[in-house]
Amino acid sequence: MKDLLTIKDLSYKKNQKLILRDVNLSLKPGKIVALLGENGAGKTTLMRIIAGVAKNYKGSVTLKDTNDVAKRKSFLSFTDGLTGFSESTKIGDVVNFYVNIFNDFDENEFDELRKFMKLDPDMKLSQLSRGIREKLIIALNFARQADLYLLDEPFAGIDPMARKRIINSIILWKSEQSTILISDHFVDQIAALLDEVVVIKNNTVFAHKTADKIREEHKSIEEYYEGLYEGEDE
Amino acid sequence: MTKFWTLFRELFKQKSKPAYIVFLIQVAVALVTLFITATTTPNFKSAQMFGNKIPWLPAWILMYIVIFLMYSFIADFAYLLLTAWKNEKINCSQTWRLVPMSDGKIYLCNTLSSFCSFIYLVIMQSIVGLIGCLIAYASSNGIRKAIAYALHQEAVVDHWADVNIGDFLVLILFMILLGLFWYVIISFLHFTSRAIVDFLPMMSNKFIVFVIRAIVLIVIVYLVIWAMNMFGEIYSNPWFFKDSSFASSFMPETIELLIFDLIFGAANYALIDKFVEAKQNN
Repeated sequence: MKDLLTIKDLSYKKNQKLILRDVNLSLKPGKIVALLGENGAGKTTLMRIIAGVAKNYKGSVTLKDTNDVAKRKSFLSFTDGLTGFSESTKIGDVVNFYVNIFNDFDENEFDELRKFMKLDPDMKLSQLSRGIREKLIIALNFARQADLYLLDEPFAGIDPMARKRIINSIILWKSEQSTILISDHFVDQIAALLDEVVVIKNNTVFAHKTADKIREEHKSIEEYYEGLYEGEDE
Repeated sequence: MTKFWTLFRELFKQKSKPAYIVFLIQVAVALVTLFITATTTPNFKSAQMFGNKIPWLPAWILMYIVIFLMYSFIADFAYLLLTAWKNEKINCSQTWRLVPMSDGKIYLCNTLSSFCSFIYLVIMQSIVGLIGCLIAYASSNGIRKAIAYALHQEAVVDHWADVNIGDFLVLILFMILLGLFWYVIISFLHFTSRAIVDFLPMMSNKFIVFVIRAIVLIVIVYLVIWAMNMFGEIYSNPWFFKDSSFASSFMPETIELLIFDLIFGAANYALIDKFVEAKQNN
């Protein structure tokens, strides 16, 4: 099967500090992939480079056979904090923005997701708690029929019950051919979903394995991931 | 991919909201000023124009329009500041930069929508002025007589005869280019300083950013003065613009502004496309 995303020899520096070095990564269509790593490992930066909002990198990023940033942006959906809107903006207005701007945004799909997340379209962004805001962001992302979903710590503020419900439903929201790259610290909670695991360590892709292989070799994905850092604090 | 005009409409919608707010504040402040003037000025009710007595209501309307238009300068300046700030916020906003379009085109769309929303504010102000004048004209015989008298004065007639449509168009073009220059130069200052700050080793503290912005500003001012002097020498050549009309004498400045807009606009397009990152906002 042809790769959906190919990253070749990617290096990125900011303020002369090396953040990513010689990153090589390929993702196939239809997979759910965890992007794991410590805080500051470069997970968000990698996602931002893929999404086309971080610049000045060396190497190449190809999504659906194109290097063109504008085209790449049309193929992917990236969790965004919605800070480009004023806090007085209503959810309904944010949805209208998505309807107008993203050709692949499905309003009916959003309506289903909105009901699932219990979101009120008349609520203003300023009235949303962190958890509700995260739910809105997830709903907006999955209402797009994208080829690649980049979910950067999407469940951070969501309560455990809702988190569980959302994680269990993610597989229903994506099309068969679309891929999800998800970074999250709740490894145990997303483990059941995963097809592959990518670990960012020492500024590069330290490991890229299938979830089945990890399960064969270790008790769980969480145990494998924690094992990578064992003894480092001492 | 998102169409240019689709994004333009969205951005214009965002910027027309503060335009309405500025407009409404201007309407309210002009009303308050009129009220204060009316209550503190003796003989305010017995207004006269060229010896023609004017009833109090049309006189108040005319007075209101004069006050309102005087406040336009402050309102327009405030709106220019407000939209320049909003412009730069959008230029570096991850939400907007994720729009499926090249970053250069997003920048163009953003700048043009700011400028058009400014023109929109000016149009709203002009409509208020025009409607007020028409109401006053229609409602008072005294005003009609006064205007007829003014138009028949020789000096006034001569003044109108001097007005040239070419001069007027050059002046409009100059104002448009000047408005665009404001947004373009602010973006240039922002983009160059951001690109430099991102490149320097761990120097993102506010004082360093301020110093870098100050240096970039000095360099821009120096470059603009140098370019203006250079253009001045070219235009002082006798074969250039022999005609002494207003349009001809004002044309060099207009061409200068056009060239500055194009140069700095192109530099901004390249900077945002290649160097200026969206702010991380999760």
